[in-house]
Amino acid sequence: MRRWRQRARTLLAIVGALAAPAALAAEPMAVRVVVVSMFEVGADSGDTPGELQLWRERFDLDTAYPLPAGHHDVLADPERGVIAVVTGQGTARAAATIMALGSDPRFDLSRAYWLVAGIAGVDPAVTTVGSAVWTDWVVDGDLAYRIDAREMPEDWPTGTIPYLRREPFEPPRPEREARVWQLNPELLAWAHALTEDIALDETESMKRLRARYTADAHAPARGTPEVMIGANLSATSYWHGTLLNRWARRWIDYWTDGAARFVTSAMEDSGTLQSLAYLDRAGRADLDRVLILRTGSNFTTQPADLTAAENLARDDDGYSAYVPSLEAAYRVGSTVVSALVADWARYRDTVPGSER
Amino acid sequence: MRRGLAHAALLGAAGMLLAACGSRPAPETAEAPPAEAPISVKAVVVTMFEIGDLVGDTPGEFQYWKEREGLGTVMPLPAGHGDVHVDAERGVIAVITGIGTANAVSTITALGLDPRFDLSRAYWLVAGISGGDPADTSLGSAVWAEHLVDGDLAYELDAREIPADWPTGYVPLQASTPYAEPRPSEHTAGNQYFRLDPGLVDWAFALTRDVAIPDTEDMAAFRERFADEAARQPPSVMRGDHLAAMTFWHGRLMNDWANDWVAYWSDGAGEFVTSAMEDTGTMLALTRLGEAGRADPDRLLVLRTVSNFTMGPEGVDAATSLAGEHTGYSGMGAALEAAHAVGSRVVDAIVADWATYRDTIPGTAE
Repeated sequence: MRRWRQRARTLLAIVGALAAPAALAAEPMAVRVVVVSMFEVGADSGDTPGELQLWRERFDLDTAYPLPAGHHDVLADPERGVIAVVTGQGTARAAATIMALGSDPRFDLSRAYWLVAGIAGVDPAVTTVGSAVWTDWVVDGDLAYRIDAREMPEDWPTGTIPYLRREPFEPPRPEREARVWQLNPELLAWAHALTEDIALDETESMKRLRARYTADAHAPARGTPEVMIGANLSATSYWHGTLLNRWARRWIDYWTDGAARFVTSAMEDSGTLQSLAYLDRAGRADLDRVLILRTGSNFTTQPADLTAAENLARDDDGYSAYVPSLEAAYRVGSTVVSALVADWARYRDTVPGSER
Repeated sequence: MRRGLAHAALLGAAGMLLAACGSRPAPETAEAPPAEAPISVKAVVVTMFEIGDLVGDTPGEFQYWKEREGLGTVMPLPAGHGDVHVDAERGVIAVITGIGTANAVSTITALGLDPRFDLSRAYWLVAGISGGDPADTSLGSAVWAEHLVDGDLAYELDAREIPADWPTGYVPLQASTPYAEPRPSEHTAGNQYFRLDPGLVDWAFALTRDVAIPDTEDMAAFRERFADEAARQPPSVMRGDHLAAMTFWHGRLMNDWANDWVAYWSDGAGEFVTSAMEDTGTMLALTRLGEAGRADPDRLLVLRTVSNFTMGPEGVDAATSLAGEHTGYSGMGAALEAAHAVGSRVVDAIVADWATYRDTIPGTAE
């Protein structure tokens, strides 16, 4: 990776030398890739990492642009056209930062690829912690009717009801509108193929955690981390437990007509996509250039020996995959970012995977 | 937006608006520098949805403003949910944000960063319908909020899976039990809780408390079914606090949670009265725009008018009551009238005395 990066930089230096410096100063930065992270812990480098830190440290995003209407400075490598933002937690904050960035005249994002690279809960019936999941569908989990499950009819599986319907999972499903998003399948397939053989970290504490998922249905949780494809349930409500996990699976199935499988749970991506959809309409972003990578830092349900409430309260090894999941997000995500930048002459105009 | 008569219609309307906007070529105004000085805005009316056409048919939150306030100039806002409607002479503009906090954030941020508008001294009036707690308010009532609490930002367990002594499955982020003490401090530029300028809210309430709100026989008949004294009253202008959540909840147990959740995040200062889906998003956007010097979050007013109750009357279970939302709420018409009648009095006052209010927020001077 380092080798090609140096080659790319040499190439860019030549291109840069050919361009007039004065014109460069006046023009907005032609951004090739935006890395979207959701939180950082402490400083941006040199301490406990959040989702931004490895990008800052290893991808040489050394230039900071204040983004006062966002949550955090934009960090950039202007030479390579790679920038990173930190949105803050939840769909509303994600929507705010993405819109602030997209409205900013200092950046030309019209051809930029967007890589959401963040951690997530993963369904232990599908995969394990430390896995890296390329997102095919995003379904919002907040936008729904809700009654408390203790107050619902006895035969209901959940107290969450689709808008415009009277009962949970009532067919036909309503129009998807801005609650359900399918990401560009060709771009996704390209990213997955490019990264599926990447080895992901395992630690002793991860092994201990996954061994506690002893149920037959949780066999995938006892496996090893992998690069895979799956759907993301995006909800500002950070849910946990067996019953809501059951709801999550059916909710994804319902809204995607069975086309997708619930794998990851996080709090931002439907907000990010909401703002990107508006920016796309304004000609300031391209919704077909969005990739969402979510890596498993924890499980969405409790292990066999704990209740949901006990697991929520636990602060020992519930997040034992935290650092490995950050590593996975960087390792898998940066492979894609590097590929896009390295072959920009092609990918500037042609979205990878769309050639055939 | 929230709830009511034509929820189906209004969600459909939102989709139609999106579709209509999507077919429009991206206007150059978003890219080009403004040809002239930006419009100096005195007041922004923030509505959340419209039904069908903008004028002349079944009203959503926007329609009365468009029909009655002369917002004749339409400026495309392609990065927002819909166009900006402008009365440049008075310095009053209005937007439709779309449904939910994320939509509100996107639209308000897009507007706030648009160089065609100078919003640095603008007042913002959220004027929308809502659910109302029958213990505190009644159909058609207009409620000025001081405390805004977000109802999505939380840990959540299914209520069937919680410990027997938990009152709810909602747990504050960074805590491990409902209503844990001490209350977690806000982290990462929070939008969990906001307090509006109490002087400004007092001023708006005092200015509007005698505005008459239409009452109807349907409203009277429906409210008779409630045991709560407050629910049985004719509509009035009042104060009360707001819970904003994209999850459109309903029923007694969720209503209990809403009351406790608002009290918890406001340290007991707030009283839950209205429920809708956007206002913590709007305030989050204004707070960030404030950081950028583009808006003043101290100039936000939130007016929510009650189109329906957040739970059913005695003897009606939550599922049945919620399903009733599909067949209509008698408070919808009155709530839309109230939002305009009460809200426009405030907008008029700000515009009329702009020489004062340009620099001094009403209710805050000595």
